[in-house]
Amino acid sequence: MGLPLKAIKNMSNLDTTSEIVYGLYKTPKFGERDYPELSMDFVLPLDFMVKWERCGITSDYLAQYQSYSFYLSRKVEILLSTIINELIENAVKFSSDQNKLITISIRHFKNFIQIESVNVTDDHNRNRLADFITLLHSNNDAETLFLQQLEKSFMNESSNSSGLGILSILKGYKLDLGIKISPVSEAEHTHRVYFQVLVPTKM
Amino acid sequence: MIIKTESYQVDCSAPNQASISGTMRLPSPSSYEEPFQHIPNCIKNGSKEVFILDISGLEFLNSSGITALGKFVFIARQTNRPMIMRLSKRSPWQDKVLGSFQRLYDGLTIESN
Repeated sequence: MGLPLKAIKNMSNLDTTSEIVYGLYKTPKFGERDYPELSMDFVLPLDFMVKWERCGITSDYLAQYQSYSFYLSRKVEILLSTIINELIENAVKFSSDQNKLITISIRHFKNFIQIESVNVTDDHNRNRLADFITLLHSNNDAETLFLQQLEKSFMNESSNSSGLGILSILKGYKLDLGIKISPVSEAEHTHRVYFQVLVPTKM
Repeated sequence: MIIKTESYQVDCSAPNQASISGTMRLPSPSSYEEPFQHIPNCIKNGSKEVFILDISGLEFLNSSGITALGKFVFIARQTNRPMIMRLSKRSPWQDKVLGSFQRLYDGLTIESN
């Protein structure tokens, strides 16, 4: 699998009422040949995540369950838990309504493990995500973006959102990333955000 | 000075050295200020001897924590303090994610065991 940033499409339309797909997002439609060997969906009420440690507990559980089928199970567990945790924390931080749910899914196919988070967000966070995608598209060197973002966070002491979660996944593991944003309610200005990371089973 | 919780330990008791171990997944970069409160002064106020930041016992760190660790590298760079960051290959994220910290400061050496 190549670097994911090269695959991210140019955004020609930032209309908030239409669906936009970035990168290598795959709609989970399973045929007989590519049905996952193991699939787990975990639905988390956001108000439940006020106890922040639950992000890590959920990540560790899903990673440990999935990693048992690997020879180097502990290393795989640490890798999966790190990625799952970043996706859950990202979904929790950028969800619009604390009464809604977020979903984290992990599906083990023959050649890759698909990890996906789904959450509902507002116009503001949707536009921030669009800006982030523009940033990814403007520079396909994830490591440089990662270091620039780190320096920016240091210069802006008041910033409480590191913005490094997704960049650390891209930079550190060079995994394929897909993002989909779908409008939910025009009246309520809400959007459903899907983050998807594909981890090759042979790394 | 040692800060210890059920999940992690931050030890700044030795001169010119700090070690962080356990699991740190705090909600934001600012939430790391309290457990890491003594490290910036150890870097700023110490001699020009090398400062060792040992995170080899740190199993998990989220991106907010990576931001907090990056801050130490920038402080060392500002004060021209040589620094060694000790990593462990047991935790794959350490080398993969933190290895490029060297690009931030020429005076930083990454040791991975």
